[in-house]
Amino acid sequence: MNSRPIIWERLHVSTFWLPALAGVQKILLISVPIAFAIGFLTAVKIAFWLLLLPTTVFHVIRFFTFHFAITDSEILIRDGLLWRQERRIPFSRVQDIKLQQGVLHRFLGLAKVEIKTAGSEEREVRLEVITRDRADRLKSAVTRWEGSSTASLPEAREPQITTLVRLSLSQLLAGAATSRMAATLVALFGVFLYFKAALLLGSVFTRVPFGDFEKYASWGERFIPFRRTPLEPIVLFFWEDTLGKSVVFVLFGFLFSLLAYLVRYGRYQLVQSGDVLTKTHGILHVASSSLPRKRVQALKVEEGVLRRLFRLSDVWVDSGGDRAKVDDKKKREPFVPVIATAQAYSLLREVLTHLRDPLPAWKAVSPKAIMRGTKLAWLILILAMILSAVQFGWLALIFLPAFPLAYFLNVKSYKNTGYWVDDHYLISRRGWFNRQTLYLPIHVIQNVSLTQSPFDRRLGLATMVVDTAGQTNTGGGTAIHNLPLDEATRVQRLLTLGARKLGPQSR
Amino acid sequence: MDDTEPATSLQSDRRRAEIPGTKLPAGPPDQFHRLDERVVRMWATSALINNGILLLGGLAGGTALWIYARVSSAIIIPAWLILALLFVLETRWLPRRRYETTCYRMGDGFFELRSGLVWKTSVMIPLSRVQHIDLLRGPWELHYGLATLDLHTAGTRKASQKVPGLEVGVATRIREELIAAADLEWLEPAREAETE
Repeated sequence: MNSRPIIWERLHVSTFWLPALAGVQKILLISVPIAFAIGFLTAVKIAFWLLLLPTTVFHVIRFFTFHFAITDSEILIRDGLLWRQERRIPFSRVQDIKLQQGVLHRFLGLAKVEIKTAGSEEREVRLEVITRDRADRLKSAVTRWEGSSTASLPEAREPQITTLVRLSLSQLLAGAATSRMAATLVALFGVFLYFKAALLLGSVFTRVPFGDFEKYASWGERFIPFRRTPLEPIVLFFWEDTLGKSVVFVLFGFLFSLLAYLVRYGRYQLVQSGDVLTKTHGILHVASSSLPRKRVQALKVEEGVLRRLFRLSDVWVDSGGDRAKVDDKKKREPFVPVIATAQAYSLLREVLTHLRDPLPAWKAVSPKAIMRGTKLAWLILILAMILSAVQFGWLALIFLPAFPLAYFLNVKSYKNTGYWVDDHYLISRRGWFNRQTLYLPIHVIQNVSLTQSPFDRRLGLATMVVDTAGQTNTGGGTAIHNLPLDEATRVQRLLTLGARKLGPQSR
Repeated sequence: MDDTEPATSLQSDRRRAEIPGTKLPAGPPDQFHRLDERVVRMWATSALINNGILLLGGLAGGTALWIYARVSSAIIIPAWLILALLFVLETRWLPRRRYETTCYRMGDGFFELRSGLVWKTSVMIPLSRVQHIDLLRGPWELHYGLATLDLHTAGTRKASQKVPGLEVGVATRIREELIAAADLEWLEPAREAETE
């Protein structure tokens, strides 16, 4: 196709030291408290032998054995130390291209590029360090290719650049305050600092002589001046002390995570140019990833407990490249970290081209779902009551209010469960506390399965699971529980034949 | 024969509606097929050998515990009985039930596999989504002249669907039919899209 000679290139020379340093930078935040605990010298030694040396050796070898070339229509990779291999990735198979820049990268004008392709789990391309210039050219080559492949559409001829989402500081703060990351970090930070002392002493309930307190107390313990009882022998962890410290840790952790969120998602913007969506975010470490619209395999709008209160939600998207580690939550990356729910649903129209109504008239599942869930909860409650009655006697009656509560929760959850099949999408919604709305283009469906447990069979119900190629970020494909069997078989057939009719080529 | 029941009846009985495995609806074009009956003997034999070793091991271990560790016979004997019962179930009852509850069909544009004893499942794969098909034959399958078809899609959790216990000729034929159909499917919608 192109007669130009292939120019083989190497990664940038900074690959000798930059990835190793970036690794250090990544663990710096966690390692500070650890360093306090085990001593700085030991920490540095461990970091050197376990992190710095192996990474450096790996990347030095990689520098000499890794070559890449970019042509008009594909990217070629030649690598391997003992078994040399050459790979060619046509731009048509590129699902997602992601540019990342740490602080040092930005200072030196370098970038890290990751390319996800369809149909492979591990063999995605990663160019650790190349110049920013080169990365931009690669990205525009892929984007241009995407543009030219849809040239028949009138609007694709002149790629219009529009900003779909831009997050203001107040939105970011709201997002940070309601994020799950905040909760996790608070818990981790507090628990680590506080229980380090407990670990040294053996148990939370251990008694130690007063004089030895300073010796055993952790850095965190000494840092926070709270009342310590002068009794002899001393109970180290008594409840006022614990409560006071917990509050301080929670506040401390909250501020910390607020900062982390701002640094990570600051300057977020989602830009559409032609058929390609590009999101860029980060203050210190800039990540930019491009996704062609037609590659979207699944889209999820999630409204968490806290976020629902403030009418906020977050959006998650999968391309065919997101196949790895479906159940690993750490691998998930939001498409839009926080957005007003109303805005999220209007954004859907831009991302999912054929979507008619983001919030259709939901079709409900079988109302048997309510009593089914309730009975299960009641069974567990009864068991808990019996066990606590044996131990505490009448105190077990404390469980009684939980019975109507379980029913109430099941009713709420039932009312928030539904699905809808239109010409191009399967839309499903579930959860009350944590409401998730999942949009699945029918043409990406790989198979549709029905499952009946023995209880399902008694009630004449079935669970429908729809499998697609990309599920990492959305966390698993559509699963609709408690569908009446005849309806389930009908929908199963409808979706299967729909997937066939809409064709294997993505639209 | 119980495969004369029409396709609609399994949906009308709402009280105990179930994905049929035992009761096969008949009649073209969406005709359900069973596995080769030899698979029952194959599963039984392989279970006999696999679980026989387990049973003998259990017997020997139990005896050793009884004699040397003086574990009460009130524990040992029921344990033996349970082990023996499991052995009988797995060799005499389970293979037949598995055979009865597994069926497949090549519908108009899709392949469907139904299986499961306790948790019943039905998987429908659009033909255009079949990526490649493996024909697998283990030692027992070689002996009985059977083969397992493994259908791969680009999916995540249910990316591979296995149809065990097919006669080799049948398996090869199905594979060829499916691949040919899948090939056509790839071309057809593309043509449709062009004319749009």
